[in-house]
Amino acid sequence: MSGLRSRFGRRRFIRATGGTAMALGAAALVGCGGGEEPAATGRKDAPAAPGAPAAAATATPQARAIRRGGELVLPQAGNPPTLDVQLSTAANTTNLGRMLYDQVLAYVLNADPADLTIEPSLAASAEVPDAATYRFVLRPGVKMHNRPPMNGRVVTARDVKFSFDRLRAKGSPVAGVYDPIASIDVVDERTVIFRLNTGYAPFPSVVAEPQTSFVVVPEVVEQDGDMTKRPGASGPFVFDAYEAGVRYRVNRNPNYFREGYPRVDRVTRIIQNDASALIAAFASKQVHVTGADPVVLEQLQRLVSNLKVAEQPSATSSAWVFNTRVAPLSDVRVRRALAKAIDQQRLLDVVLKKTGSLSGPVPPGLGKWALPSAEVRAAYSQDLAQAKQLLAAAGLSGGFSTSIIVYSGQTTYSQHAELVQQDLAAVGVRVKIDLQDQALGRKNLIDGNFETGMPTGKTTALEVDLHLRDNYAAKGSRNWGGFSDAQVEQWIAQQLVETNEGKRLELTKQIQRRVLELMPEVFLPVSSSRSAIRPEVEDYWPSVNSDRASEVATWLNA
Amino acid sequence: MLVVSLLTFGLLRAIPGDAVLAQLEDSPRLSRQEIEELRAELGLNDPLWAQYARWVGGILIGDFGRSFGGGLEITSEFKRRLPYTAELAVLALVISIVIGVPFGAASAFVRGSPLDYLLRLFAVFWLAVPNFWIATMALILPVVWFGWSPNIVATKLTEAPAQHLVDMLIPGAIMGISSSAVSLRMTRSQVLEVLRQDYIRTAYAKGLGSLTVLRRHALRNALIPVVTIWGTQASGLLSGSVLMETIFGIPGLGQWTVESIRLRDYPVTQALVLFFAFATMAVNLLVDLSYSWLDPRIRVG
Repeated sequence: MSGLRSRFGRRRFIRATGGTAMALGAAALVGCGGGEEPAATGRKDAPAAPGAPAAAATATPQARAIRRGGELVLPQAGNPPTLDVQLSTAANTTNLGRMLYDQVLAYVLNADPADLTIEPSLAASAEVPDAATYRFVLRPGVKMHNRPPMNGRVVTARDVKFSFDRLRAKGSPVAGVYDPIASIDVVDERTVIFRLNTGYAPFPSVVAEPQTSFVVVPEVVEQDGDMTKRPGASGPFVFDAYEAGVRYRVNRNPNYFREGYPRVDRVTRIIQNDASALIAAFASKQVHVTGADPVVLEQLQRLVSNLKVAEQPSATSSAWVFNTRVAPLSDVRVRRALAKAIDQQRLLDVVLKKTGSLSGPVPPGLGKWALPSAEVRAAYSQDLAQAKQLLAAAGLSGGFSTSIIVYSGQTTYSQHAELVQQDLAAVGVRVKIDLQDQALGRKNLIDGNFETGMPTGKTTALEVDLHLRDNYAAKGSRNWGGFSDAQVEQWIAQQLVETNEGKRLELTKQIQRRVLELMPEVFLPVSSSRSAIRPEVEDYWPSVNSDRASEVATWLNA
Repeated sequence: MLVVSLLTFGLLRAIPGDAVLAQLEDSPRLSRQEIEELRAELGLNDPLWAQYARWVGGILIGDFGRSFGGGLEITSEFKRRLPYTAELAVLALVISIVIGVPFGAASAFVRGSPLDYLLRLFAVFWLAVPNFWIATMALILPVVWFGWSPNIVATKLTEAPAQHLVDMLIPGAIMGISSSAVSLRMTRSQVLEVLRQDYIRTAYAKGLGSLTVLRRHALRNALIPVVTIWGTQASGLLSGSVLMETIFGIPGLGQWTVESIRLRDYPVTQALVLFFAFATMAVNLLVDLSYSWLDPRIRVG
């Protein structure tokens, strides 16, 4: 491991990138021999108690005898929209993709969901000679799955180039994130250079997010046109079968480059979203893990003793968006008044049942990139007198009427809207809740045909730029309210090319504070997601946005 | 069918919303122009008459097109899912008939007795309690009592036939018993009506036993309205098993219909609605034909 670490060129890379979340050492997965083995140590594990925050999800003594084999069964809310992992960014597709494919870089896999360290995966070393050039040397001898058409051949730099060229081609759902790439050059079998038009600070993060970075097999795309019939490349598992509406299965890749992994022989994901069915399945050992809100968790704890609980902070922000193009919401005093009239703590306590936190423009799941919770709390403290003063200053002492678009079926948002409606009535603002079908609601938001709205669909990405530029740049793809501010625009442009992490961090905080001041949206509390894990499951670590293939490390202790 | 196809096509497009936006929940940085290009790629920017002509033209050569979501070939996916829904519907209908007719007749035959009250209570219970609640109890209670639960996704028939039958039997039984309540009440009232007829008195006067009178004369004459109910139920079971398919993880047509409507997957929804309309017409034709077998007077007429 130490030899491998030295080849990463850690100091050189971090110095060149300004340390952009790019600690290349300390790969969490260590190679192990066959049979029973001591588990990897040094993880931030601790015994879990039901209801305890579960970065401490799994009881892990320093050395444990790991059992190999068995079938890990997990639920999934819906069908993958497509089996071609480069054609969809939906979590249901990414969940499959992260088991079948690898990435050049990846978020480190361990028990701490807040650890956003990026480490090399297919890459053995990475260098950044200048801010606009990234040079990756691939690990030697990493093999593709042993099935046609790749038949176990070695992963090469050409595969990397093909994959990223396809990702940034017209029609790719993530083409936009790779706009800064000027060219991808293959130097030799193992070396590939990404040349960017300019410095692009988010580059390591987007290369580490599975949604935007799977390395695929050119032959499959060339022969079949897409990857729907023969998914899989060099990932820890090999595709077995998929039956829409029922399940898909993947089997352990015996030639996986991380020796000793994966630990289970098979992973099955069953397609099921009914809460009662999942409670029954979890208690009767049909699934090993299930999502659990506080009510469900209480029921599960009665049925299954010693279950473990994992809790992850949200990587998605949740907002009440104002259309800043229309009066009176074009007046910042009115927007501030609305924000001051709302009791955020009540939203958190009543709607989210105290399982979450207040959030600013960047959600708490992004760790240090999010504003401190005290700062967010101060910005959102309820003050009805001040709200009335602001409305009076805007010439609206008698209040006004407005509407909130909420997508039908989105219970959490509906409840938020109802409480907001009650709060605003106290300052004379009359709110009509306009429940709309999701497709219609989204169309109205994109077309600017709304007053206010509580839409779903904010990004789940771990890269801060995707949370800021998309929402608050004048041309941002999710800037539905038409917000525009020259200062924010300037800072967004600066953070995009700022490779010094400290300076970039400060810039992103400034943007968030400015957004809180101008209030183009009121951020709603976000819930932590909780997973119940059966007692026999070890080393299963759900990640903040499902970006990490925890299935690789998981093993079954029974 | 032409009217149905026009209605289906027209109504789907009258629903506000957008097929592309409904399917792009989390695509970073998809510009307005790219969204327009996707619409064009799916043919959604073509005039409605051109879209309709393209769809009907495809149907005439047996091509129902591809799903907007994932490009799945509709015909092959339909063939995979139809057996699940059909099996569930047949199981439910058989159970409904096997319970509804004999118990309905028995209830009428012993009118006013404790057994009659018990059977009527049974019928009212199953009419009053929603299917999904029964299904939820069927999943949860065995776990609480025995630590066991029915499978939450269906096993393939070819993989494990016995397990497959168990997986289908539980939702099938819930749907069937629930439907049997209607058959039971209808059979009871019709048999009561028939038992008052002169020819029944004649049959008794000829010295026939009670069971023979019931079987040969009363039941057969009472069944015509009941068969009409079965026809309605069969159509409903084919298209309305969505809750059972969702709760028990059965990849049938109901599950697919709901998903396609949510995603504005026009080709899939259109094909399924057309099929359900065709199936309803076919079942009603069968019901009409069965009248003449049940009552020869209709045939002669």
